[in-house]
Amino acid sequence: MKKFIRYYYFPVLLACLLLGFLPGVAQVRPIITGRVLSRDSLPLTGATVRCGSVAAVTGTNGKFTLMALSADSARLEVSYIGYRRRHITVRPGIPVTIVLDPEGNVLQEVVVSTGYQEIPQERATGAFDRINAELFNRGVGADVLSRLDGITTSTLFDKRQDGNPLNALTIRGVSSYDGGNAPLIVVDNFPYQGDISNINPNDVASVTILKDAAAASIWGVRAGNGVIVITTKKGTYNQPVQVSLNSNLTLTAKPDLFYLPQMRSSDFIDVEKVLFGQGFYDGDLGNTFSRPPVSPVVDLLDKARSGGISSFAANQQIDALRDVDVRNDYKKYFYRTGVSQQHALSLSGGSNAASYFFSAGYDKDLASGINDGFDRVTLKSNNTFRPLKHLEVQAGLQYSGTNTTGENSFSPYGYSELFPAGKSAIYPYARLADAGGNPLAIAKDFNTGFTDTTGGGKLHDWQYRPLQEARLANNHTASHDLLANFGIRYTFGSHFNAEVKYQYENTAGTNRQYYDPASYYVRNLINGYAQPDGSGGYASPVPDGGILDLTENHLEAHDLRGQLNYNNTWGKNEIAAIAGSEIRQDNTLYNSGRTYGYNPGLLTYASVDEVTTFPYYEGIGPDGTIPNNAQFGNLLNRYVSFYANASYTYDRRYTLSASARKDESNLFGVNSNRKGVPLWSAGLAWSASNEAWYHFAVLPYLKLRLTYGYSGNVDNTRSALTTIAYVATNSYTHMPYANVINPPNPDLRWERVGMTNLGIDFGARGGRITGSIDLYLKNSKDLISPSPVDYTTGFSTLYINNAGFRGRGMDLQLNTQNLKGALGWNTAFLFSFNRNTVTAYKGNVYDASAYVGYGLTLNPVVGRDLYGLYSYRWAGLDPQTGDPRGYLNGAVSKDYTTMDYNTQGSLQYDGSAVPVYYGALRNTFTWRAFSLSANITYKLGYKFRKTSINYTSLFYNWAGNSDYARRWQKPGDEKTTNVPSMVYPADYDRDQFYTGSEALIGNAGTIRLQDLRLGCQLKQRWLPFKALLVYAYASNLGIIWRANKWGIDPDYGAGIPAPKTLSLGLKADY
Amino acid sequence: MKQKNRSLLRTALIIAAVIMTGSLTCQKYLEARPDKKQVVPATLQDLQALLDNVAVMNRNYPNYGEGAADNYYLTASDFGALSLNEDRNLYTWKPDGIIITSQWLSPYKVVYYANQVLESLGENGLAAAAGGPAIKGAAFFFRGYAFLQVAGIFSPAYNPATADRDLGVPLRLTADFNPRSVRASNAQTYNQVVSDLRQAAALLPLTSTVPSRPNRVAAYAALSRVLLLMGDYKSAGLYADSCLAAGAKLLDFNGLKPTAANPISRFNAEVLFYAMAIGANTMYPATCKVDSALYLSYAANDLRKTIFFKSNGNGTYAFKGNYDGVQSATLFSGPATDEVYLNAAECQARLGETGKAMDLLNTLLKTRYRVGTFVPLSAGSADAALVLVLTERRKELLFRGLRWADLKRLNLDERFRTTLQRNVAGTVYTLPPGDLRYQLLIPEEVISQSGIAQNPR
Repeated sequence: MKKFIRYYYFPVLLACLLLGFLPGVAQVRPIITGRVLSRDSLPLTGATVRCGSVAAVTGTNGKFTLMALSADSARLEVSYIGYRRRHITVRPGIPVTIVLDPEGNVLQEVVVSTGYQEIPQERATGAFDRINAELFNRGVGADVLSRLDGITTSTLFDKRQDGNPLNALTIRGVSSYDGGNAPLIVVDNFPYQGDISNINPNDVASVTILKDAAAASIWGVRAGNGVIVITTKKGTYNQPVQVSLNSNLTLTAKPDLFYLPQMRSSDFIDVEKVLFGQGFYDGDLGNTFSRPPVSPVVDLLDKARSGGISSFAANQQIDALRDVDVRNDYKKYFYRTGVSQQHALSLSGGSNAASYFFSAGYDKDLASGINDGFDRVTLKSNNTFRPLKHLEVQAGLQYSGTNTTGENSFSPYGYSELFPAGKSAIYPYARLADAGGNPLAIAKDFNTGFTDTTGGGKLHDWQYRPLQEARLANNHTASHDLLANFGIRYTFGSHFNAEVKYQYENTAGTNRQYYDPASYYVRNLINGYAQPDGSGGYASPVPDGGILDLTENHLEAHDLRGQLNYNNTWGKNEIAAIAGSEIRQDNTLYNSGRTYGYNPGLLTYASVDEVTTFPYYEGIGPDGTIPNNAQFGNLLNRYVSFYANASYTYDRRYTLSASARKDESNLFGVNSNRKGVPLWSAGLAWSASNEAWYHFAVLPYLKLRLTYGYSGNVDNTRSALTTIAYVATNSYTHMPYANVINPPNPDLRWERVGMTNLGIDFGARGGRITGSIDLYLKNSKDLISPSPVDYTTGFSTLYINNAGFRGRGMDLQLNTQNLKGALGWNTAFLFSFNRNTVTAYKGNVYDASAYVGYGLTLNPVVGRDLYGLYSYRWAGLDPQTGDPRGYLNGAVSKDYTTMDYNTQGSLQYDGSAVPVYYGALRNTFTWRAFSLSANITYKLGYKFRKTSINYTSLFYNWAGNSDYARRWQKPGDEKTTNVPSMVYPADYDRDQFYTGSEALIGNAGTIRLQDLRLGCQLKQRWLPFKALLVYAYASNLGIIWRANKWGIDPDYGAGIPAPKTLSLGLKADY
Repeated sequence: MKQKNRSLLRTALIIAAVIMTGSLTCQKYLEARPDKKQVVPATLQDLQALLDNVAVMNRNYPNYGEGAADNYYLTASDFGALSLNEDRNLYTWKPDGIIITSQWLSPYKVVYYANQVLESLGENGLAAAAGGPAIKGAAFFFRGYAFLQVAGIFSPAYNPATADRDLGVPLRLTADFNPRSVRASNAQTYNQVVSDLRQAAALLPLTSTVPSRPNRVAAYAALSRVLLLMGDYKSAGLYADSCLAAGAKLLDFNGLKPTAANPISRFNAEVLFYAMAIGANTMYPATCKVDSALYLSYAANDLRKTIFFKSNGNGTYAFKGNYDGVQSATLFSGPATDEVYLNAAECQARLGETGKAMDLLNTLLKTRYRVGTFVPLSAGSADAALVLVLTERRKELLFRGLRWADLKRLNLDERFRTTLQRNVAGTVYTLPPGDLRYQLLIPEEVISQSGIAQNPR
């Protein structure tokens, strides 16, 4: 920490000192101070107080400080979004309290940013969702995107598979089969290519989500999945210096491993005993070829059978394992309470001719996994100068440095990763540490009875101890991201200005994984290639010592944009138009390599023979060459784009907008005329409440919007010509070789997404109720998708433009002010409806089992939901045998093979596996200095498939399930359970039938208390701050209601729900 | 005001001009490749890289023949422990057993790569360039060899009397995926194999610098194999002779180490073309028990008895004679010198050349017996020689992907008919000679996409 202060605070302090010399800041002038409050005495944060050319923005407690132009009376203009503008004359030196009244047209002052221009929302035709800083900062996460969860309409975070919010996030559903669903992220005018977690959320001023074609199609072929525009904080001209500090601490609970349906150890042991009696393990036990691992129980049973120990002793030892649960060791030794801290300091201000913003942030996260965590330092500056009256120059610089730690790739030890060769889970009675906390060994790649004795002590220790691996973990990723931007704007005439913007991004990341000589990976590699050395010992071509894997990646991106802006207002006419062109390039380089015999203390290493194929120790593994892990890559994307956007407003009543864009990219193997695609949009808005005849007092604000247009998706990896990809070197021949990526496809086209949006914005009297409703239809055409072809062509599927998806939906946002006065109560209600169905798809295959899954990936069938869940119809268990039964041609059947694979047409369709209805209800209560806000989120209208016992997986892969305890065991059980009886030998098709059957489908609907936030705004005069906010925030608080009876949280699929977090923080403004 | 307007217009025009210029110069900018590793194949290096894809071109040939053949058996518990019903179905010759699609897709992927190389050679005018003929020859070799592998599993044995009517396999000769697949006749299929391999023999260099690449010797060996299957003993014999004359060498088993886990190494002297079959669960050495009668047929001084087999310690034996230097379920199935000697000897015996046949056989066997203990075999007649050759063929070419094809062709001859039997925990399954099940079912996915005829049942 000390080191950190020395290195990172110093530049900031220096910057602060330098700022003292900026013109306008340090001059002595009369000062006007005061507060801006709403009619119900709530402080208004962010209100603009203007005195002539000087302006200030109120802080969190509504306070402002302004340099008066003279010592005499000053005339102030006070404005705030949603409130009536007020003019007031004050005398400098005497603190003043200004009360604002709410305005009917509450949305009027909101400005939305598309990344190309800022549009007043009242003149916008498109569907924008703007999240202001206050709402954005309700949460405390260190990541920008995850803070949007639960506070926006149209966005859905699918947490079933991927913790990375960029992969989990969709806006208004899916619009591409193959091109990914991630929306385009724009940070301050340009697409952000780096890791979005480099952006410090404390630097974010607002986030705008561009939802429909009129809003997004200005981004052309990258807008098909929606656009998120992040605007970072900037200084304002004529603003006194403001310093803001935000600091918080978050505690995260250990993940609840006991939520997982792990099979009871005792049950697992019983199954092993049964299988042992059947001779199931005889093959493995007698296998001297590959010496496959067997579990400790099977090993004991084998020893008892061969007379190595008595059966009494064996049973005693086995019974001792019945109460062991590996999760207890995990909880105790592999997890901790996560602690993360976040500190952000910013400074901003401005004079007549310059404005500035500086910030520094530090985040440190010690996650709940013992080796997992990161720290991040961010530094940012953004300055604007007006050297000439008509010229504005802007320059910004942003640095982000992160260090991430975790487990080593080849030494995984996590609960779900800890499984021996050929298995997919560990036996539940595994013990990972003894009573003294010393690591214990588990079965890994070979039979431990063999590896413990072979070599007579001359080999390296061949045991695998997960806890030891965890303690030796040494995996660091350091990444540095630099973003520099520069803009110049020249205003000529009264209506034109021209601007040139340039952005440069440079990201360098290094992943360094060191395998300690004591790690299993190193010992196993050395032993694996060890051969008798002729003198009683063993020699291995793999040198002793550690192994160092280095992977580097480097991204460099340039963006250059020239744009001409035209704004004119005459009479009742307003025109705002832009036209420009843009050229961008991003180039990613990566390389990786490995060093053997690396000694981190002396920086020495050893040479190895990477060419010779070495035999495996006693032939128990495949012969091979010593892996070198060398890899190189060089990816280049280039775009040239032309765009224009214009809107015309008549009499503040009618607005017409249109945009057009053409993108060209370096699509591979395509003729130039196919490299580009023209995209366009048009929109219409009618502010009904501005009509002379409009007198509905109940609804003083009413606006209707209608837009239509196209955006696109681009996938540079596809090609119209036969393309091949080189792969480094084959270990048999030491020659480079190539794979065919695409057979020729002369009809390759760009994917297009057409969208119609109909929206209504409304506001009730006094701002009591405000909101908007958007209805949309989305048609994605020419989507590149797999099409099964005759295998005789040498391909099983080809990727061609022949899928189409249709999305329809609604976004509703309703804000109400239920109580005003001392006790305030506001409610925000968000509701999204989104249903994506398939209009065209040729990828359907013959095999019915291909459709039966968990709905984690797209499962397109024409006319059905994109993430469709299908199942085999369920006819209950056979009362005599406990066999699962289904229907074949209408009759009850146990012909699993036919039902599993040949009944594609008669599969039951269960519905969508992703939420169709979702949203949030956020209530905020304020009382004096306190505010309490609770966010309840809901996801409804979808189904999920529960995991259950699969005897094939249990026997072969050790993957059990707690449902085993509820299996059919005797006639009559079928009345209370759907879990089939255990049979030997395991019948793969019978298991496939049951695990894919209707019996395991449940309604996935949930309502949960997502978070709670309590804030206290301290306004005491004795404080050395203008404002001090103390807050507490708790998230992932739990499910209030769930539709399924199994106690499962379907939001997290088969994974563990996100653990509860608790944060405490303070925010001070000077 | 007017002047101001004019200057405004001028500024706007300049900006417009700058934008336009940008658009004209950008075409070259957009020609850059998005991924440096990806290219449109246009050079001999690119085409060679495709053919050097060992995983696709050398190590992915069908294995179902071996799974259905009689080199091995499974114990009842190992049969029960098999995780795939497909393997059980194959082992018991279930009439409607589902076929894993890779049995069809993998060899046809080789066909596609070969066709792509042949087309790219033509399009880029490289066929006659230095190094071009070798690549062209290799492409022909791969295509012909792959067709033969498919035919061996999905088509009946080549019977000259009915070959015109028997269903062969689809013969795709272009890279274009649009034309519909049609099953050629068995005659067309085998003739295509011969024609491809002959073109290969004419173009390929005698030896390869990279061990996975085919060469002329390999083409001769493959021709001797296919012509033997077609019953054209004269031509088969000539190609076998050419192959041996061109330098195909034998391994002396006296130089191998019988105690080694894998006594026979990858790319050893006998390997003429490196071809491996897809791995199958039934072929794991720990599961796959060598047919006991077959094991007992080896003499005590026959080195193969210790080099090919490993005792499981319970009276059963595992096979460790894989020509790939590993104990694995992935078995070598390419042409090798020992096969060519046996092809040559069989052709001579069938052509009545008893002496030549026995000389060839004894040359091979001498390398298989402990040095100094081998007594050359002799035969009183050509028929006796043929019986000796076929007996030794059975003992030499086991687990080499050849037995299934041998069973099929020998079943056409009354003298050598065999009925196969499996016994799984008391249930006996039989496969009589000439049974329709000798042509495995084509994967249903292929039938539904292409509409080609399924094999009869």
